[in-house]
Amino acid sequence: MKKAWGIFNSIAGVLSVLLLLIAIGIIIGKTTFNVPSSPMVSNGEVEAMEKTVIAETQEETQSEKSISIPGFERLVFRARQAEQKVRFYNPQKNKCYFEIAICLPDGAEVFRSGLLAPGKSIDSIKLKYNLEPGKYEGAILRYSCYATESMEQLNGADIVFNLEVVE
Amino acid sequence: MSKRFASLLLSMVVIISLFHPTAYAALDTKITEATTKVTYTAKVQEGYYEVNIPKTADIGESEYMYFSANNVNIGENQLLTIRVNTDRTFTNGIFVLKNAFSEELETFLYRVDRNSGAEYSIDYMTNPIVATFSNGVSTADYLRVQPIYESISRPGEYTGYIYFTIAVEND
Repeated sequence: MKKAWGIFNSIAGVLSVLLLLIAIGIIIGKTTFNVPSSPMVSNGEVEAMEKTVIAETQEETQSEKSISIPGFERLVFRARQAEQKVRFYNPQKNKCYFEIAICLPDGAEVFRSGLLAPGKSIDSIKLKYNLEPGKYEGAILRYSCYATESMEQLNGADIVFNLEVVE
Repeated sequence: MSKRFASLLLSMVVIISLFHPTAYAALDTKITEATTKVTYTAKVQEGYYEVNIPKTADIGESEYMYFSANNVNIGENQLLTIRVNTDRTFTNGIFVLKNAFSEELETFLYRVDRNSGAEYSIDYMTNPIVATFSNGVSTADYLRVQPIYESISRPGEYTGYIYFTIAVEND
């Protein structure tokens, strides 16, 4: 009987050490690895992701072959002052520089920018001459486009807009 | 003996307590960072838009040139139109490409109806419309540039540029 107790004591000692080691292991494992709650992705989600990738690739291909031209219907300037606030920009996805010019309906050029790189914008411009108050319907914002790699001339666009010059 | 037994009992209590949901919560709170995603979708200002025009007239790759528009915010009864600026694009009423020796390659320029595929010559026209867009609806046709091969005087690269006029017009 005493011998049996001795064996039980030994086994209990070994077991308690093992259990403590397991407990420590679990604690370390839980604090080290942050397993996502739902790592499985359904077939529908995979298809949706594939479609998104395909659409993004097609859009990328199309954007390689096209130029994104921002336009607007109306622009307001302050009368008799050279400096004007604007919001001209070259979309990030373009692979070309913009040169932007503003022409009045009679063809007179009142502003011409330098080369505007993709992702850059112009917030303020200085006119070549001051404008009197009035409505200039059919003013032109002229985009001349040049490839970023070769500076080769590309197709261009004129934006027709109404320029309002106010006091 | 009782110490060993108590030790074993305590170990088992520790193990069991680790599997209790509150134990997970206690452990998780140590490693989880709480974040709040704040999003704001800025609307395009009224009267603003972005139009995608073809970069080049690379006839060698494709005779077709496509148009698209995004972020269009114009009035209900307004149309965003893309026209070929014939003053800047045409020479004597047609689209002409030139090589390094200034020799000319004449072309036929067509507007292609995207639904029927019907082609309409726009040579000799004045600022013809090639695409229109309204709020949320694209009715963009496309352009086809067909070289007149008989006009080629020598092989090589010929280049030309098409200029577009974009405007918001009342429907």
